[in-house]
Amino acid sequence: MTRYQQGDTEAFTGLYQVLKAPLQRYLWTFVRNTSTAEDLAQEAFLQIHRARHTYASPRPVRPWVYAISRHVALMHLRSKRRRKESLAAEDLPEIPVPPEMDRIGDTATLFTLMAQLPKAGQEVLTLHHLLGLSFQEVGDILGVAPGTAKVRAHRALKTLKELVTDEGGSDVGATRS
Amino acid sequence: MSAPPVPEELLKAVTDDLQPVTPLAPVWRRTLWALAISALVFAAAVLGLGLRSDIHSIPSWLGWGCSVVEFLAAALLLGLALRESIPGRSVPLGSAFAALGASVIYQLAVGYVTWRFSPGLPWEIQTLGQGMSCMMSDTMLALPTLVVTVWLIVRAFPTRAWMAGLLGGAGAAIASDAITHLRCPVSNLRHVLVWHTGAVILISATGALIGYLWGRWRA
Repeated sequence: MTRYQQGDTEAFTGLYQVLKAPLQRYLWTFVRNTSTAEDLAQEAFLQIHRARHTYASPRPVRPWVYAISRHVALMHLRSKRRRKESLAAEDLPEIPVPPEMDRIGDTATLFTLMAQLPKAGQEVLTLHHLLGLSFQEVGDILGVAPGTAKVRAHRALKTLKELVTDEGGSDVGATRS
Repeated sequence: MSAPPVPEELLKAVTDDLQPVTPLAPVWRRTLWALAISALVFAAAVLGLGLRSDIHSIPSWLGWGCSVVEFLAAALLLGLALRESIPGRSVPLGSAFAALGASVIYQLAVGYVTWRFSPGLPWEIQTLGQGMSCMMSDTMLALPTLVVTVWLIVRAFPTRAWMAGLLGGAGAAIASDAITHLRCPVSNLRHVLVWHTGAVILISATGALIGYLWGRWRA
């Protein structure tokens, strides 16, 4: 990130390659459409570029990146509401899921069921359980206390497990907390 | 899985504008810049406009001491505003509103205790014009700090610009009230509540509005 701030194109390319998939996965929780999430990821990278002077080493990069991406997604949803457009048909992204979440159910089921959770729960679950951010980092992104993020994640996970049980899922394994 | 290539359009947009950038100064240092302006206004107001006529009737811990504490509360609010302007460093809503609420309660409490020591000019002789003048004075004293804080906020990348503006406005307003506490000779709680707390709310709301409008314009 520091090399990118110094004007190194390859550093930007490296950042893009590392962050594109998780960013798209996160943005998908807002729009539920793969191609829209991909467009938003491009927009997020543009905003990251414009805001690159606000990153301060050695702070972690990911909370900074996800906070900008979240802003891009919320702006998109706001303008969509203004235009009174309807959401595109649901489309599941082809992205890997960490083993601890995979134990809850297969990827398709997991994402379908996650879509039934309240937005706040989905977001925390994605950031913490899928993307591996700490609750402190999740709190910094969402503007809530780490404890609040933890409670939201706990509730969302509990609801998700209930949904899996209702759907006939079998192995509701242990997950990170 | 191979690494995804950067889309040409994005790569072009980035490489066209890939100047080296200097990272923003840390939050504490940017807070000191805003505070330096506040301190200058504080000194200029105290030296240029003078102190309240009953300053000798109130103990120094209540006069100067409470003003300094209020100034420190302003520093905290300005620090939170500038922290809020950095992506990924959002201030929890509860903490932000607790800091705002505590500052206003502190201002009212100081007004009440000051009134117990020295009633100053009675409320009854206060006219609407005098109250308005107090509010105008508060606003003018807050303006330099507000302008500098808003400039520092927009130079960053606030994801909740209204919140950063609200905290920055409140910081500027509380810093201005720290001066007013030493200048306004009316301690009556009604006067403090209507005109001085009113000014704090007005300036904070102005900060939030500026942040909100700037956020909309940027989007």
